This record gives sequence, C-alpha cells and structure tokens, in this order.
Amino acid sequence: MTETQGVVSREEARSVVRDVCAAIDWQPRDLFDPRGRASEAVQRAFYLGAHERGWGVPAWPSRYGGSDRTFNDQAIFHEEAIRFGAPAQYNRVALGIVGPALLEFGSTEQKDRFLPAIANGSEVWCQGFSEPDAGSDLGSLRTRAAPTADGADEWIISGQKTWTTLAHTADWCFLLARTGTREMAHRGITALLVPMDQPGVTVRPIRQLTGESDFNEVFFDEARAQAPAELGPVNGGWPVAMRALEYERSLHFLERQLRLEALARRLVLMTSGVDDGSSWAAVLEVVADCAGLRYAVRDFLGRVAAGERPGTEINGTKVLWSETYRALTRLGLCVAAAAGDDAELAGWSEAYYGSLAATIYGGTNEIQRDIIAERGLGLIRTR
Amino acid sequence: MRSDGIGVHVDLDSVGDEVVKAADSFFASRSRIRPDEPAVAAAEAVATVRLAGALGLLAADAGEEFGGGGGEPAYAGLIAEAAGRHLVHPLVLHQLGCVAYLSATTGNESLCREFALGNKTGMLVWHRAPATTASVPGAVVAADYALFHVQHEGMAVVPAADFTIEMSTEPWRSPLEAHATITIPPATDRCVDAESADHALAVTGALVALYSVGAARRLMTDTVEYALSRRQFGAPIGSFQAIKHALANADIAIGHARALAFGSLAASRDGGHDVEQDMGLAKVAAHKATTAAAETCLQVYGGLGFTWESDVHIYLKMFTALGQWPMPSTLQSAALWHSLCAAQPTKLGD
Repeated sequence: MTETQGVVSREEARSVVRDVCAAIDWQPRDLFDPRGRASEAVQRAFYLGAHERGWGVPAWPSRYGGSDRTFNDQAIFHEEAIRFGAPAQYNRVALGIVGPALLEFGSTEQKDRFLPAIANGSEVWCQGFSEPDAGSDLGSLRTRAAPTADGADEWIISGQKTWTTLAHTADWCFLLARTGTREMAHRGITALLVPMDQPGVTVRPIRQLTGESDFNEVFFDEARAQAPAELGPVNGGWPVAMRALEYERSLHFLERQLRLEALARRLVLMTSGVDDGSSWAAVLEVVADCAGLRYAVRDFLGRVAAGERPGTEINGTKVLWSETYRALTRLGLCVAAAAGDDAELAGWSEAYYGSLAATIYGGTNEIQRDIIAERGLGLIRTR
Repeated sequence: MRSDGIGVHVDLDSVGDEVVKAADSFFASRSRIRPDEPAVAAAEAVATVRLAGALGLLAADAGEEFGGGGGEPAYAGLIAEAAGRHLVHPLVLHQLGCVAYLSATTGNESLCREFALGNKTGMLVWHRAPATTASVPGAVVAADYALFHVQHEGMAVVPAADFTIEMSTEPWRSPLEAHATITIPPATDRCVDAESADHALAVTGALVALYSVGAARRLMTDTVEYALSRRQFGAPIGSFQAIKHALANADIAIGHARALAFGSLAASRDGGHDVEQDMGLAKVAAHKATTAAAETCLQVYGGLGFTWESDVHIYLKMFTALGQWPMPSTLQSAALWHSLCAAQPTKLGD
C-alpha cells in the first residue's frame, strides 16, 4: 500500500522511535527470539522515553499530559514503533481503553485526577468486565456495587471478575458492576473506577496453556470506591463499556495486523525453501487474507480519524484476524515440521498455541458473528 | 479517495458516486444471463459491451488519449463491481481488461480508443508455453479480437480471423462463463512489453475480484431474504444461529476481499510492486470468499439450491471459472515471491 503522510512525517516518527530505543539500550529482536518480548519494565522505559519527547499520548490534550496532536499522528507513531520492533505498548488497558473512555465520558474532576497519571506512566489500569458466569453474556454480570448505608459518597463492591489483564500490577480497575436489579440486565450496570490497593481486593493469576499468566481472577470482598467513582451515569455503564470496546478495536488492531503480516512474511520465506508447489496455494490464501486485513484496518482507522463510527465491518475484522492468525501459525507449524527445522518449529508452535486465545478474547467470534448477522445482514435477533 | 496519514481510506468522491449510478442504471437495464440460451447470452454480452462503451463505462480510468475519462483507477473497479451486481456477462471484464492492457503503454492509442468506445470487442487470453491451446473463462465466439498475454514476453493483439475458438457445452460448466479453447496463433508482434503486461494483468485481477464481490453480494442479499421468509420449526430459518453464523462468515470474507481489491486498485494510481501483488492477492481472496459464499448460500437454500432452476449454480460456476483468471507472475510460486521478500529483514513489520 502506498505510504501516506500525516502531520508528522514518518521519518520524524521513526527517528523518535530509534532515539528512544537507543536511550534505553533496546535492540529489536527476531520475531521468534524468546528474548524478543520486552519485560514490563522495558515497556515502561520505552513509554516514558516517548512521553518525554511528546509521543506518549500525542493525541491527548496537553492539559492532561498529551501533545494536542491528531489521531493520525498517534497512529503513525504507533505503527513506526511496531515496525521498528520497539517494546510493546506499556499500560495498554489505560492508554487504549480507560483513557479514551475518560476523555469521552469523564467529569472534569475525573479527567484532572486520572488522565495525567496515565499519561506520565505512574498509574496502571486493568479492566474488570468478564465474570465466571458472565462472559459472552456480559449483561448478566453479578458483581454488586451499592452505596454505603451511612450516606457517604462511596460504593461497596462484592463479586468476582476473571480474565483480567494486568490486574496483578494495576493501581486501578475500570469495573462494571450491577447497581440495579438483575431484571434490569444491561440497564442496571454502572462503570466504576476502583482502586486495587485495598484490603477487599484479591488478585490470583491464571496460568494459561502456554505456561504464561497474562490474565487474573480478581475477587472483590466489600471493596470500596470513593467518589468520583462513576464513569457515566449510575445504571448507564453499558454504553460506556461498549464504546470502550470500540477503542480497543482501534489502534490495537493496527498492532495485531502488523504482527500478523510479519508472521506471513516469515511463512513465505520458509515455504520458499521447501516449496514443492503443494504448500504454496494454502500459503497464498492466508497471505491474501492478511493483505485484506491490512486494507480493512487502514480503512477503518481512516474512518475513525475522520470522526466516523464505522459499522459492523470491524467485528468481521476481529473474526478474520483471529482465525487467520490461527490458520497461519498452524500452517507455519506444519511447514516447519516438514522442513525438519527445530528452531522454526519451536517458534511456530509457540505462536500457534498463543493464537488460540484470539478467537475468544475481545468478544468471542460467536458474539461477533451474531452482531454481523443481526446488525449487518438484518437477520433475526434471538438472544 | 482520501489519504489519512495512517493509510489509504477509500472514499467515493462525487464523481465516483456518479460512476456507480451510471453503471448501476445501465447494467440493471441489461438482461441477466440466460443459462439455457448461450447464443442469445453471447449476443447480448457483445451488445452490452458496445453500449457500455458508448456510455463511457469501459475506460473511465484511462487517459483521454486512450479514449478514457482520465479518472481514478478505482472507477473501473466500481464499474466491474456493478456489472457483477447485476450479473451481466463477464465479457465486460475482458473488455475492461483490454483497455487496461492497451493503455498500459504508449503506441496503442488508436486501437485502445476503439475498445474504449465499444466499437471493437476483445477477450484476454493467457498463454503459458508449451501449451498450444488456452482456456478462457467468460469468452464468446463473436469477439473481434483476442489479446494474447504470453508469459514473460508481453501482449499481442490478434484479430478473430487469425485464431480459432471452440466453446464448451458441458452442463457442469455454466453457459454464463462458457470456456473457450483457443488455438494459439504463431508468434506475432508484441504491442505491450512484459512488465506493462504484468501490471495490466494485476489490474485485471482486482477487476475480477470486484466483479465477483458484486455478484456475491447480490447472491447474499437474495439468500438473506430467503432465510427471512423460509420457515421451519415454526420460525424463519434466519433466526437460527447455524444459519446466521454461516452467512456472517460469508459476509466477513467478501467484505475483506472487497477492501483489498478496491483499496489496492485505488492505490495503483501511485504504482509499486507491493500494490501489484495486492491486486493479484485480491483475486485470490475474492475467489476463496465468493466460492465459499456460494456454497453457504446453496446450503441455506437447501435442496432448492441444488436445482438448475435456482440461480445459485450460476454464481458458483462463475466464481469457480473466474478462479482460473491468472495471477501476476510474482504470486505464481513461493520461490518467485521469495526474491522480493528476501530483500527485507524478517523482523517484525519490516
């Protein structure tokens, strides 16, 4: 695709990325290098280096620690950082989801309190949405929040959240809790900003099939959240949450798409070494899907930059991305096995097993298909 | 088309809107393919091409010296998509392709104008040695010329008197996209060099993709309508998740194939090998998406979908046939693509 320019030039963005990486002594690694993943400390160092140069949250208002730049500038910097192989995004829930939600729904007091601390990297956030019995059916969540009996401006929270990324290091949780009756379903949910460092909060890591622990269970046992804790109106948390998930599908998808294309290129290079013609047709189909995702994501970001709210296309992009990710890594695993290349096999195996989460997180592919069928194609809603 | 820093955001401008309106209005007035009357279908295909030329729909993107309107490359894609949407004979794709080939280099201006205006009709034929015949999806006997793209050599224009064509009549082939076996004439002068011919071939890949996407969207619309009206177990089958998810899958794949085809065609204005590859990949993605969509739609129609009376087989056979449209040479094997990829580091994103 032809590279285009925003307000910031790509050369300028690349130069900042290179400078920061040099300053923190970070060398980009090979895609499958086990040392390739930056620790959280390195992610933080890169973020702070970028922030010092005005590129932490470039599109946020300067009042909250940003640089008053455009969404395009932010996207270009993000893309160049990924392309260069810079450490992954630090504090990604706060920067990708909570911050934008605060900017759109937060009171002045909340913005002043929380946004600068996110921008300067001093406070980490997690997102407490899913529960053991409320995954795809998020509207049935049961974690309860009630005002204190003494009339103090405070909520008491009890319940359990699960699949909570970054909960083990988070200072704050962007939590969905039931404040109305169960019958009110999604109309009885409030979005609350809850401190994690308190006696009523317990975090337990979940070990995944990859052996890593990216997610946690979080238990709230009469935990407290003081005013101004509500983001948006009481019992009006559902639209806030849905909008927050839209932010997640924005710049996060750029990173996902770029990583997928890097894997596709790796697959092409490997296939060319063992090409007997039979693998190529399968590889080409996966590569074509990757190219389709590239154009779809760019088109989506262009629409976001233009202030539009695209329709159900992005739900389809989530499905295609996650299933192409799985298919591509499985194919890579097969080609590496056929080639008898142990190092490649190890890399592709790890990538394949990691890909199996992608069809589940961020809204299962089944939910995405429901949305496309009902809102996009006009078929009948049955849930 | 609008550039937004992070990438290309394809957006129709007012001229693009007018192109779509004109193409939709014209193609809607033409007969849909008649599977049982191939001779009539072929005659109508030629008439459609001639009229489309008179309306300026065959070269909206070509330079004025080639008889075109000097518009965006994406306009040709919009026209191809509209042709698919109204299921007109894919001869129009060949004609759009002929203009793409002839306008790829200087020296062919007067002949190109004849194709652009619909005064002459042509078919694209790909020849890979040592074969002595070539199979051509969407061919008709009545075309005035065949444009032979000889791999690694370039393109030659051959008048109808100098080649022979035999139409296949097997019922498992759709008369809509009747294959022709064309006997290759002796080597003739190339009027488009190999590199320009490869570029034109890539462009036709995106056009085929958009034609297929237009047709598949039409089939999907009809199928969704059927799923909303057909009742089983006391409810429309369009309320069952098994049906909804299958149709959603088809929609996802078609949507992304379209994004790739239209986006790469729009970006081809600025050239580049990557864009050529993307246009070729668009054909791959569209073939996979549209054949899968047709299979899904057939399943939704149930037994009805397996009948000759249903339109589903027309779509499916056409998508299958268009899958034979060749790809740019760089996509034909891993080894060829390797030479392009190898120049780049394998680190993330580069």
